[in-house]
Amino acid sequence: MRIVNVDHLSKTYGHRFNRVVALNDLSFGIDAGEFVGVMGPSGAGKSTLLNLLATFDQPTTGGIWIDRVDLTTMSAADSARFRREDLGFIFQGFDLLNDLTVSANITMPLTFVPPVPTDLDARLQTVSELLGLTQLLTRFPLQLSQGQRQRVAAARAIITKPKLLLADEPTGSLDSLAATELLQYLAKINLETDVTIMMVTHDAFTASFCNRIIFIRDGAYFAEVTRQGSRQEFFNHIIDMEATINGGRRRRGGMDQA
Amino acid sequence: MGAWIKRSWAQHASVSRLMAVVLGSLLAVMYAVAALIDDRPLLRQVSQGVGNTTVFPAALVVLLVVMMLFSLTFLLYLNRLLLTRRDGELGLYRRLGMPASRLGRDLGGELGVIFAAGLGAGLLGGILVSKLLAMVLLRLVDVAQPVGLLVSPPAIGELSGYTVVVWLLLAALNAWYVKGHELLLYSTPDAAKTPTAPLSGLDLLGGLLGAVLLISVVWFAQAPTYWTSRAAQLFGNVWGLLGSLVFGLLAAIGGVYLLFACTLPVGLAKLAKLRWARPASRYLPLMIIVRRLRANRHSLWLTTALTTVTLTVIGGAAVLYQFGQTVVAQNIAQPIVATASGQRLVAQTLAKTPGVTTTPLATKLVAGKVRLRLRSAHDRLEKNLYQVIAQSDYQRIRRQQSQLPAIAVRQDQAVLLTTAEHLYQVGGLGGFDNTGRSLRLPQIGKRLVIKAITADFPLGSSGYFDRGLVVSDQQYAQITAPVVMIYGTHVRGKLAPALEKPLANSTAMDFVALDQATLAGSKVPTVVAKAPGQDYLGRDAISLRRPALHQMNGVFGFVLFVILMLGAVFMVATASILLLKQLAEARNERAAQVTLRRLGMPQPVLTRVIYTQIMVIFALPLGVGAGGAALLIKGLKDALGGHPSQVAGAVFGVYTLVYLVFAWVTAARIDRQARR
Ligand SMILES: Nc1ncnc2c1ncn2[C@@H]1O[C@H](COP(=O)(O)OP(=O)(O)OP(=O)(O)O)[C@@H](O)[C@H]1O
Ligand SMILES: [Mg+2]
Repeated sequence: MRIVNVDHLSKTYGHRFNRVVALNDLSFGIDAGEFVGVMGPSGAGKSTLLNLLATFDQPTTGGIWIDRVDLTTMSAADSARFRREDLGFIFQGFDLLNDLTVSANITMPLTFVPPVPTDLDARLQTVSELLGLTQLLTRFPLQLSQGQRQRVAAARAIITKPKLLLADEPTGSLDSLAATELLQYLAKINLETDVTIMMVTHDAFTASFCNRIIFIRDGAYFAEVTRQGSRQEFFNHIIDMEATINGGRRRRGGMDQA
Repeated sequence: MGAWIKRSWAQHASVSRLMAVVLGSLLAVMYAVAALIDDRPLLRQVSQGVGNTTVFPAALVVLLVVMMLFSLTFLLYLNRLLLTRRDGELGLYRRLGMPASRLGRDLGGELGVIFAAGLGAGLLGGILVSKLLAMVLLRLVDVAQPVGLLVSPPAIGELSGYTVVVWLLLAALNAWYVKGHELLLYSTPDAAKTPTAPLSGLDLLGGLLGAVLLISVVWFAQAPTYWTSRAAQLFGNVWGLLGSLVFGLLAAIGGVYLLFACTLPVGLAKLAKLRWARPASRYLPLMIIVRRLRANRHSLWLTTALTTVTLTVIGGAAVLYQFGQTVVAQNIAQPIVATASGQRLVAQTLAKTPGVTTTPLATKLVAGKVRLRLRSAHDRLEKNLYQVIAQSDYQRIRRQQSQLPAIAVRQDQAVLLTTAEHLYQVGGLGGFDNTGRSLRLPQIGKRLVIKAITADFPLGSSGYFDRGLVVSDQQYAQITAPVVMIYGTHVRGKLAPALEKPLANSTAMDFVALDQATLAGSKVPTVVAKAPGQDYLGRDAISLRRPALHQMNGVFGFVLFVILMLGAVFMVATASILLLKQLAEARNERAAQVTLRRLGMPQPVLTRVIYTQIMVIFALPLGVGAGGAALLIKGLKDALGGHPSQVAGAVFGVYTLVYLVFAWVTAARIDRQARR
C-alpha cells in the first residue's frame, strides 16, 4: 500500500528577482512499512522536501498525499491535527523541552487536545521499553547524553502511533557508537511497530540501515538504490551512487570551464 | 568604533532602547524636581500655607538626592543584567583576539550613545512634564496660580553632570568587567540554559518554612499593637518592640523569597502531578512557571519588594492626605463654627451677607468619671469634662452632617464622643471596646452606661472643650448644669475674602478651669474669656474650615507630591526589570514554541499556554506586593484611626491596571512572535 505519494512537486523560495528553486518537479512514492533514506549533495533540497512532507511549509506546485490525504489543501488547524495524529518527527537538534522530565516530554503530543488517552501510562511504558529509556524517565533532557536525548525524541515520535515517521539527519550530532545504537533502535521500531520511516541523511553508513535510498540532486529525482543482500553490500552501493552524483557535478563543472 | 556601535545597536536594539527610555524617564522626573527647586518664587507660593519658606525646598533637595541615588543603583543593576546577557558575544570577540581594552572602550562608546539619547530625551521630557508637575503640586497644596514650562539652566547643568558621571562610572565598571574575566570564564549560551536542579526535599522544607513565615507575618500584621505589646511584656519595652519589628521585617523578606524559590514551585509541581493537569494546556504553563519562579526568584523578589514599597508609600501618602481632610472635616463640620462669644463677631460680620444659615446647638457642661481601657494598656480611671447633648438635638444636626453615625440611646445609656475614639476600640486579635462601661456624673449623682464611642461630634470637635456625651432627651432635661452654646454657620457660595479675613484673624478663645474640685463635681464649671490659673481647657471662639483645610493641604499635599514622584521612579524600575526578564525569557522559549507547533499543538492551545504563564509571572509580584502594601497601609490607617481610604483603593486600582495592561501587551507580543 502506498503511504506517501509525491507528485511533480516543486518548491521555489524568494521573489521574482531572487529565486531559489529548491525542489524541481520531484516525484516518488513510499510503501507502508518501508524504511526509506533520502540522500543528495548539500543544498539538493532534502530538508525542503522533509519540511513539505511535515506540513511545515506549502509546495509551490505539485501534490503530496500521505495515506491518501492531500496535504496541499489543508488549513493550519487541519495540518496541526495531522501532525499530531499521523506524523512523528525526529530532528537533528533534538527539540526536547528542557523544563519537562523525559516522561513528560514523551507523552507531550498526546496531551495537546483533550481528552487525554486513558492508556497514556501503558503507552509510555511500551515505548520506553522499546527504546531502552525505562531508567531515565524521571530525568531532565539536559541530564542525558546526546544519544539518549535522540532516543527520547524517537519515543515521543512513535507514542502517537503515527503513520509516518520523519527524521532529518537524526544522527547528525551523535558519535558513531551512539549513531549505530539509535539506528538499530529505528530499525527495530520499523520492524516491530510497522511504522513507515523516511530519513534524510548525507551519511552512507547511516543510510545503510534503510531498505531503500532515494537520491535527489538540484531538487529533482536522480536515482534510487534498494537493499539486496547484506548491509555491507548496500553500503557499497550507496557509496558508488554518491560518487556518481558528485562525479556528475564535477564533470559538469569541468564542462562549464571548457 | 562607529561600526561597532551600529552593529551592537542593531543586535541589541530593543534592550538598548529600553535602557535609553528608562534613563530618559528617570532623568525627566529628576529634572522636573530640580527645576522646581530652582523656581524660588513658585516654591514661596507653595510654602505660603505653612508659613515657613525653607522646609519645602530642603525637602525637594532631599527627594532629588534620593532619586539620584536610587537611579544610580538601578542603572548599575540594569547595566549588569545587560552585560551578562551579552557574555557569550563578548567572549566570542575576546576569543577571536579582540583586545580587552578595545572591547571596553567600544562598550563605553555604545553606552555613551545610549546615555546621550537618554539625556536628550530626559531633558526634553523633563521640561514638558515640569509644567504638569508644577500644576499637580499647586493643586495638591491648594494654591491657584498659573505656571508655564520650567526651563532652568542650572537644573539642565546638574542633570547633564549627573549623567556624565554615571556614564563614566558604568563605562569604567564595564571595562573592568571585560578585562577581569579570563577567556574561558565567559559563560557560553548553553550554560545559560542549564535548568535549575530538580526539586528536592530541601525545597519542600524551604517551601514549608516560607509558608509558615508568611502566615506568621499576616498574623502579626492583623494586630501589630497586640503582638508588640506581648513582646514588650516578655522582653522589655525596647527589645520587645525592636525584636518584633525586626522579626516581622525579616519574616516578610525571607517568606516572600522562599515563596518564589520553594513554596510555589513545590506546590505547583505537586499540582502538575494531578490528573487534572494532564492536558498540555495546564501542564505546560505549570512547569514553565515552576522553572521561571526558580530561575527568576531574585528579580521576582525584587519586583515584589519594589511593588510593596511603591504601593505603600503612594497609598500611605494618599491615606495621610485624606486623613488630613477628614480631620479638618471632623474638627470643623460647617464652614464656620463659633462659640457663644465668637458668634457675636460672626453675626456682625455676616449681617449684610445673603444666604447665611446658622445652626445653634445647646450643650450642658458637666464633669464625669469613667474607667476605660486605652489601647494596649490597662484600665484607667479617667476624669473629664463632658458637653452633654440631647438626642433630638443630635438627630437635628445629623440631617445636615451626614458623617454622624445613627444613635439611639435609652434612658440609662449614653454615647461617648472623643477624638481619640480609635484608641478606645480596637478590632481583631487582642481587640476590645469599652462599651458597657459605666460613666458617673458626680455633680448630679447619675450613672450612665456607655453604648458606643465615636469620633464624630455634631458641628465638629472644635466647638468642644474635651469630650461630648449624647443622652436621651428626658435625661438631658434632668441635668442641671451650665449651658454652653455652639453655632454652626453655613454661607451660600464662597465667603468673600474681605469677610473671611476678620474672622480668621480673631484669636479669641473660651476657657474652663480644670481643677480637682471641678473634676470631682464639687464645683460647677464656668466658661471664662481669660485663661484661669494653672489647669484649664480652651477652645477657639471662631473656627473657619477653608483656611484650616488650606493649611492641611499645604503640608499633606506636598508630602503626597514628593511621594508620587518617588513612586513614579519606583514604578519605572519595576516595569523595566519585568520587561527585561520577559524579553530574555521570550528569546529562550522561542525554540520550545517552534517545537510545540511542529508536534501539532493547536495554535489556540499554544496561545493559552503563553498568556497563562506571562500573566501569572506578572501577577505574582503584583499580588504579593499589593498584599504586603495593603497590610502596611491598614496598619497606618489603624494607627491614625482614619476611615477606609478610597484614594488608596484608587492608587491600587490604577497601579494594577497599568501593570496588567503591560503584562497583556507583553503576552500579545510574545504570542505574535510565536505565530511567525
Ligand atoms: N527559507 C529559504 N529561503 C530561501 N532559500 C532556501 C530556504 N531554505 C532553503 N533554501 C535553499 O533551497 C535549497 C535547498 O535547501 P535544503 O535545505 O533543502 O538543502 P539540503 O538538501 O537539506 O542541504 P543540506 O544537506 O546541506 O542540509 C538550497 O539552495 C537553499 O539555499
Ligand atoms: Mg538539510
